[in-house]
Amino acid sequence: MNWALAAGSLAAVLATAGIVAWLGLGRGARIGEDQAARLAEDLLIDFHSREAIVDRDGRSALVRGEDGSFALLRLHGAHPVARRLSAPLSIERDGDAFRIDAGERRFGSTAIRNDKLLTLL
Amino acid sequence: MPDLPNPVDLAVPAFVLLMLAEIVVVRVRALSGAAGYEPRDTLASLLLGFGSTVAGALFGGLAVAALIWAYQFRLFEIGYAGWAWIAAFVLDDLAYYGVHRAGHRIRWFWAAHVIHHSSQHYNLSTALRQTWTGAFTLGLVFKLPLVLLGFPVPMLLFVGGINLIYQFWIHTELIQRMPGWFEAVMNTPSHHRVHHATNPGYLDANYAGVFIVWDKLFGSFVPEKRAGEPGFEPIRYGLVRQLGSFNVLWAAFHEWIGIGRDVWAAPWRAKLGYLLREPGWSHDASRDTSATIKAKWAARASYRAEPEALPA
Repeated sequence: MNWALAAGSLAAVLATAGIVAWLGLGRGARIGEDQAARLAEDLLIDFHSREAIVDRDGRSALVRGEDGSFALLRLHGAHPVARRLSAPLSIERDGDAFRIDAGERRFGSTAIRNDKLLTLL
Repeated sequence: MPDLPNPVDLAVPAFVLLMLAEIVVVRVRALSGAAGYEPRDTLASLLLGFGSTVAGALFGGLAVAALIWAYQFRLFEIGYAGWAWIAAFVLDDLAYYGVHRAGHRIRWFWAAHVIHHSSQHYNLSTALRQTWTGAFTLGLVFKLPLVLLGFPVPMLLFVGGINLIYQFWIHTELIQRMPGWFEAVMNTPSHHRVHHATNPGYLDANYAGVFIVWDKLFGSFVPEKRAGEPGFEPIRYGLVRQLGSFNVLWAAFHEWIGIGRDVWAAPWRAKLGYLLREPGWSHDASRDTSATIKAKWAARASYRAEPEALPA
């Protein structure tokens, strides 16, 4: 292994990621009110959306499906990720947010700030 | 035996410069709301690339040693003639097509390759998101015929490196289409965007490295739809089930962990299936493969179209 090349590569890795952050790339994405239902269907192949509640900052959303299951959406960096959840959901109140656990350690829980969430359940 | 350099090492400065140029263009054009790059995704991609070079240094020698050992059983003495370089490049690209296709159709191979598809972005940094565990699959069996034909191993390693370098520039959204003749023969950003897409209509397509003709020959070619074409939808990159994590260790090993868990929990008759069947296969059909995803997608498309098809 060429150690000089390895050290140079690692420095370039950190510098490049730093430049991307400095330029402010990848910011400002949000999930729109009218977008969540369609997103859930696009990301979860056999999911049919009925109604959606979106976080007030557009960072996450919960969509109820026609079959009673739910699609939990959240922004992962600049793009959305989704998980299909079955009722009953694991929800905790966390200040002014509802925190929904997807049941996966790596995926973690997702906060949704929107009091209308309870009407969806 | 000539002492050939590793062309990928020589290309690293060009990789960095081209990436920086792409970053600047994305920023200036504010492409996709400047979402063409994201700092944590870029850091993960580049760290995964760095880890890949470390893994290559640690384990790559095993595959090379196996190929050098096999070379003693060669049928012909090909040597380093000019024509041999061209033949080696073309045949190595065919071997790449085979190993890449296996990388998507056999879960054991997919466990090593999934790392390259784990970003939801498609930019030059994604190209560097390379495997850490490729040495633990049997990908080298696809190169073995070339060694047994008599192509020297250093020549195959060199043209393999050129192949990898070629594939760097096709990981971009900045280039829409190359000239028609080029699109017809070569792998291009357009063809490879399809390969990285999770949209059902694009799954399991365009496995080519350099020459797209292999996909056309073996029935795996799917052209990218242009905006305005029937059925067009924006490409969603990454995995059918996105990781939702920027953890590089998770990106590198999650599928291996998944295989381990599935093999452990499966009944004896199904254990091998979780290793050798396609990603998403399960013995109780409780999960989706690309084939079932495509079938559901087709059913949904007709379900959505149905109300419009009915007379008023």
